[in-house]
Amino acid sequence: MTARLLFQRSLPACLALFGAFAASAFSQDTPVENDYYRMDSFKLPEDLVLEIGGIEWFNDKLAISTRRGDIYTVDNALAEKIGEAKLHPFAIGLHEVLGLTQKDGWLYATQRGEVSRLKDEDGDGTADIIETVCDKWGITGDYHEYAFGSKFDKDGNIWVVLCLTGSFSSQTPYRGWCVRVTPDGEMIPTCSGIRSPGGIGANHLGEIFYTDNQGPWNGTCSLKHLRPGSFQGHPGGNGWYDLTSTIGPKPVEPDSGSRMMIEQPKIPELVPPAIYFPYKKMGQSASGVACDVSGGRFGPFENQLFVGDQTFSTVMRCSLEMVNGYYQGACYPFREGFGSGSLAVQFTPDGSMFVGGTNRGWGSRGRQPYALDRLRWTGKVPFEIHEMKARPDGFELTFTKPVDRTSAENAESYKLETYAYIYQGAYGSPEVDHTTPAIDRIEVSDDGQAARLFVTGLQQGHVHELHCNGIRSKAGLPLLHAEAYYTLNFIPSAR
Amino acid sequence: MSAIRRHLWCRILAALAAAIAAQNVTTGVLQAASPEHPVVPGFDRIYATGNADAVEGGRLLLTELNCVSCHKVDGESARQLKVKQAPVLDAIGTRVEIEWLQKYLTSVHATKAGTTMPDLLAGLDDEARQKQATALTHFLAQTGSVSDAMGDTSAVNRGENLFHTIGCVACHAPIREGVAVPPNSVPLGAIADKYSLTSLTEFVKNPLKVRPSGRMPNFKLDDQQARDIASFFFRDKKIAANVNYAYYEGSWQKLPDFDSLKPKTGGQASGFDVGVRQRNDSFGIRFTGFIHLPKEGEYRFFLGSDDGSRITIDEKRIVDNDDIHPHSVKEGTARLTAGVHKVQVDYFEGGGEESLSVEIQGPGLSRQPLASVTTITEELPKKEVDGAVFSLDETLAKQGQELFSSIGCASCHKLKLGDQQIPSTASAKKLAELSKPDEGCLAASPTRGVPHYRLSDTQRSHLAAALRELQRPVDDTPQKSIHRTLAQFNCFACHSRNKIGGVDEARDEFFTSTMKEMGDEGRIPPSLDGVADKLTEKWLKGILDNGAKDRPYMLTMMPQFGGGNVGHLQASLQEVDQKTAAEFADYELPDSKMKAIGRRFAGEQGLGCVKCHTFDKFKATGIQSIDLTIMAERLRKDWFFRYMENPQRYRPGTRMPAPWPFGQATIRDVLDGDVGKQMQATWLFLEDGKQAGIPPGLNQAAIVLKAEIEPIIYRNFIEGVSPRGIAVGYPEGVNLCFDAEDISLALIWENAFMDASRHWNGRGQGFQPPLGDNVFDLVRGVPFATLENTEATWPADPAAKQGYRFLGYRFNSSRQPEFRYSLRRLAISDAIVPRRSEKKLASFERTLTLEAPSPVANMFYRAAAAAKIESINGSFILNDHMKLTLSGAGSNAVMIRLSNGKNELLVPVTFVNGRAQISQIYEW
Repeated sequence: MTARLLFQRSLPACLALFGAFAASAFSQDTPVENDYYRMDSFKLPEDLVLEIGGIEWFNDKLAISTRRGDIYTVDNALAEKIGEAKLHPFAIGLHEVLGLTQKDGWLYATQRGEVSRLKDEDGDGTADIIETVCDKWGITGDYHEYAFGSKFDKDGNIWVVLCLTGSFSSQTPYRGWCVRVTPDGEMIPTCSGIRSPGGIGANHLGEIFYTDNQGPWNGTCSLKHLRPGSFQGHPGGNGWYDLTSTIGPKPVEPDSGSRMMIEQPKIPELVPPAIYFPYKKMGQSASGVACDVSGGRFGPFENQLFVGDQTFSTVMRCSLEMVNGYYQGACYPFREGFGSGSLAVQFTPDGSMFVGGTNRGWGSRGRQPYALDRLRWTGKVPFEIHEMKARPDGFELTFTKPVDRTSAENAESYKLETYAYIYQGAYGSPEVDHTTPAIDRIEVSDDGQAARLFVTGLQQGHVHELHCNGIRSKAGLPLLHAEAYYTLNFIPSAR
Repeated sequence: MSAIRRHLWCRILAALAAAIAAQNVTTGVLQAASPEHPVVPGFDRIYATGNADAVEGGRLLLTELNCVSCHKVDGESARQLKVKQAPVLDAIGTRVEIEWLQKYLTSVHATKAGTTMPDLLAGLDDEARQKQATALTHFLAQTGSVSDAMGDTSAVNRGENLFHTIGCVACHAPIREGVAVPPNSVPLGAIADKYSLTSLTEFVKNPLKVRPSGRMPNFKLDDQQARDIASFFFRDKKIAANVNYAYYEGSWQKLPDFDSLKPKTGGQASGFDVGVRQRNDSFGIRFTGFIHLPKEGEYRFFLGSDDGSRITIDEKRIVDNDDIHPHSVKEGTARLTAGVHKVQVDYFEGGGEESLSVEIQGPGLSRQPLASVTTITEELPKKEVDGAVFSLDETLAKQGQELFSSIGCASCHKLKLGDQQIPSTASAKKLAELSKPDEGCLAASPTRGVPHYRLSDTQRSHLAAALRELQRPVDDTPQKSIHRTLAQFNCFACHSRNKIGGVDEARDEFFTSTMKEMGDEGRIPPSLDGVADKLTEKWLKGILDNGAKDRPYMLTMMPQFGGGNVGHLQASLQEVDQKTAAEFADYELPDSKMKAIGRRFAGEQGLGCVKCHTFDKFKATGIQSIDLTIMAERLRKDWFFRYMENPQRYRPGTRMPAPWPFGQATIRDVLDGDVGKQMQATWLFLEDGKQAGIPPGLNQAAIVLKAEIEPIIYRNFIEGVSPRGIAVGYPEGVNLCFDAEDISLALIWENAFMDASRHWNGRGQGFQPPLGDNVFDLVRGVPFATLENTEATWPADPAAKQGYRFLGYRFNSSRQPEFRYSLRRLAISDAIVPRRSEKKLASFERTLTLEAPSPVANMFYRAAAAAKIESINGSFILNDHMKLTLSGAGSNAVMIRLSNGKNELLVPVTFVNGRAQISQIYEW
């Protein structure tokens, strides 16, 4: 009897020992994302369906909103160890809330048909007042007419991006537009040309960006800058210029079958997508947008934007720069493996990132129908391309850690190709106009934190897809993610 | 006689002998029972044997053999002996192969044994017969030519199955190895020689078009089904090669540039058939040919393949279905002129399964394989008759036309050439003048110039009997007239009535069901005893006019015979069958309440109707019997009540249990257990048809929202309300939907609240109606308006345009929402809460509070708008159903006015210190 007990105990112990050995041997050779950004997943109650469309830090709690129309607060969401989520209903029975923000004790929710604000007056944790702030845009009852709401901007406005009625047309006012909702509930039509947003958020300077999805006039998914007065590229909603004079006359209709940067000079209002997310490489349906302003608590990517992808169940990383008066930049893989289709992305004051997911109606790599995951920086700096920036004669790469000079100076360590998308009224686009520019020369900075790539054959209007598989860090590690995709709408001019 | 024509004659003579010999071989199974006499199934069934009524049998033949087309009848007889329209030959050339026509006309009975068409050339010598048949063929060939097409194996298999299940074999013989030909089978002849796949498909799709008299009814098959059945008949036909192909081998991820590759082999194929391959993986085929289009217009092309493929027409890419993928179909369209176009289909296969399907659809072409209109060269192949190329001889055609008129073809067949209907110049005695029982058509052997029917002795003697008794009045009661029609149209092949007819033993196995557990009830077409007592007049008419598909489990279909052919049955059936015998109980509750009860009865915990009956799109939980939502439209109320008392009395052997066994209620606590009232409730519910609420237990996928302790809110797309509906369900069992766009209380109802499954599954498209009962739809419009005088109409502009703004809602201590909105500077609170009603009615109390910062004049509250409003004891009744009671400001000055065709209940709003309050009670 004793012998058997001993045997039973010792077998798992052996296995555990072996497992630990195997894991550590592995992690030394090839680090994985989780080594740097640890994912904790909430266990959600079985009797609630939490398809998360909005997240906000509200009254010292995490507030989440769902596609079914409910808002819950989550207790102890920042605790070191999270297990079963303790949820409290804040409001039940709203209409598909895809945007939460807060001010002065009110929680602001963007529903399909309105921006509302909610308040718990008696302190029992449940809202007693649900006030309509603005309901001045139209809805027809088409499922496609989603509305995504931003956080407050510096003027106290909420920006709402209104999906078209379906993929092609706009059947009721301001579908396919971005509108601003002012503190007194007025609605200012702000940008046209929107197709099917998946999220909206500001960068560290307060400029507002949204993601749009592959479809008509969108060759692939992208991150777009909502400059007031701009036309974002899909003319389906341009009929509403007849109703408003806030952003001037209707822009010239783009030619279908052209290219974005051929049309852009002809249409002054047209703001080209700041970053394309190459289809099926970076993702398939771009979603929530959040900026890391944690002051380093989330690691080395201060002020960069993080964008979800619903289909790939990922969060991507984006760096932006201003060239020629327009934002453009690069996207990089950041973290995969979220539980469901990533939709809402939100930072909390402690520097954690929360990602809410759903895959209802659209499939996702994450197998769960809905999920709430938390990402925390472990304090270890991953070896990553920190930023890819355009230069008149090539690109500059910065790294999160010093590189091994020999590997970084070797042209064989890089692979660069370019392509564009057809700008057209038909659905999506394949990659077209492929070129392979030559990397003539590489200069690595003295501190090993940067590399200058001198390139012949930069292509304006193309995505420049760079693979740096040969680069090693000083410590001999490969890049955690070796790819970067730069959207070169404009080539900076030499000073 | 030209050399070519002489040659043709020789060929025909030789071929004829061969054809007759061939028929003896090819018809194999059918051979043994090839009928020697014209088959009239009703006659064979009822009059051919025993001591049947010879006069009645003869009279049936007078119409079915078309005697009365030549031998005119008048007066009363004309009504009783209606002419049967023989096939309309307007476009016979596009339906029937010339070669077959020639053969058929030369020897009618040898070519199609059992046909009811007489041989008009039978009495002629061989040479004259062939000469006349050729002339007629050339004449008929002027009406067009047949286009060929091919079926595929899967279509043949589907067609075989359809032919043997939907009811074809109720009249025709089954075509199965080892199955004997049952008696009374309407012959089909050598169908694949007569038609082409395309023309047979067109015919099967609607036989009434060319055979308007309905003996071959219309099964209303869709394009594919018709094509499948036709394909079955063409299972052994091989079609000449109609595409060129080049075959390549290689490994590709995408279609290669075949131009730059050297084909391994090539040749001609029948259709775009990947069967020409030499191995199963890593190969490619380029097919080329020409397509011939009848009309100019937009054509759709469907290209399905595993792996990649592409269609090019006139050097232009139409559909690109490239890359490695499982079989998937892509579509493309092209505007094409009439005439010839060059077509190229490229295909490659990487590994695994291989398939290619190429289809076309366009003006004058139903969706069909592209191969149907494809040829090897730019020219259409010439028609051949017995190996010789057929070329139309106008002189012969002219002769044929004269014959068509003179020998009597035109007496039965309609044929329009250009705008001209070919008239008959044949003369025949009036029917009443025929007296000799063994002469003319009744003669045993063919006579020159006399139609030869090849009648059986029985047919001959019955016809003679009918002619003999022609002057004697016949029994013309509705019973008899029904019987005659059922015999004429062979309704008896499926249905019995008065113990006559019903499915033959020999055909029984072909009557099948998707619900085996329903037994015979699920597979045998219903008896017609009392049919007009059971079915409503409208439904019966619909069946006679259009056919029916009310029994989804029964594979045999009720086809369309056409109102013009069988519509007269309706009056006779009603006269004979219809009874008015049921008693309908009185009831006190409003209809809407009764319907709610009926709905529960139909449900799982009630009488359980939904366990066996489908309900619109919802499947039943057990067998799938007739849809409950068509019952009230389909069944006479009087019959329904009698049937419910004892189903076995009307449908012996039915699986339908008695809902009220032995006249007793099993649910005793509803409607005092009163059977009559319960039946009324059930019927009232059924009367709502597809609008009726879904009975409990049916919708397994429902996400039922229920207010347990507190009210529950559901903001979504609610049917009957703008997309800004806010539905509130209360634990008290009443519910409302407030329209935040129209600023109006839109719907109120009781019992169940909402089913969220539509919106919470998938992408959630569409509007969802309330789940509960007794839904009262309140007329929309803003609640408050300033009217210059009481004549002014209620404003109909959108609420926002009138100055309304929806402000949301607050919860009171019971967490009931109070809606808030403003009208310009006026603040309004709208609190609607459930209340108890004495009579167990559903009830809400609504309190409207207005606050005005400055005086408001001429403001009115519109408490209701309805078709009918009555004032009774200080309350108001809307549409005999909804009771409203008003109190508070202005309630003593309520007025009912008629405005814009509606009655409106207006309350003048009087403010005291800038405040006004109105209370309104709803009871329904």
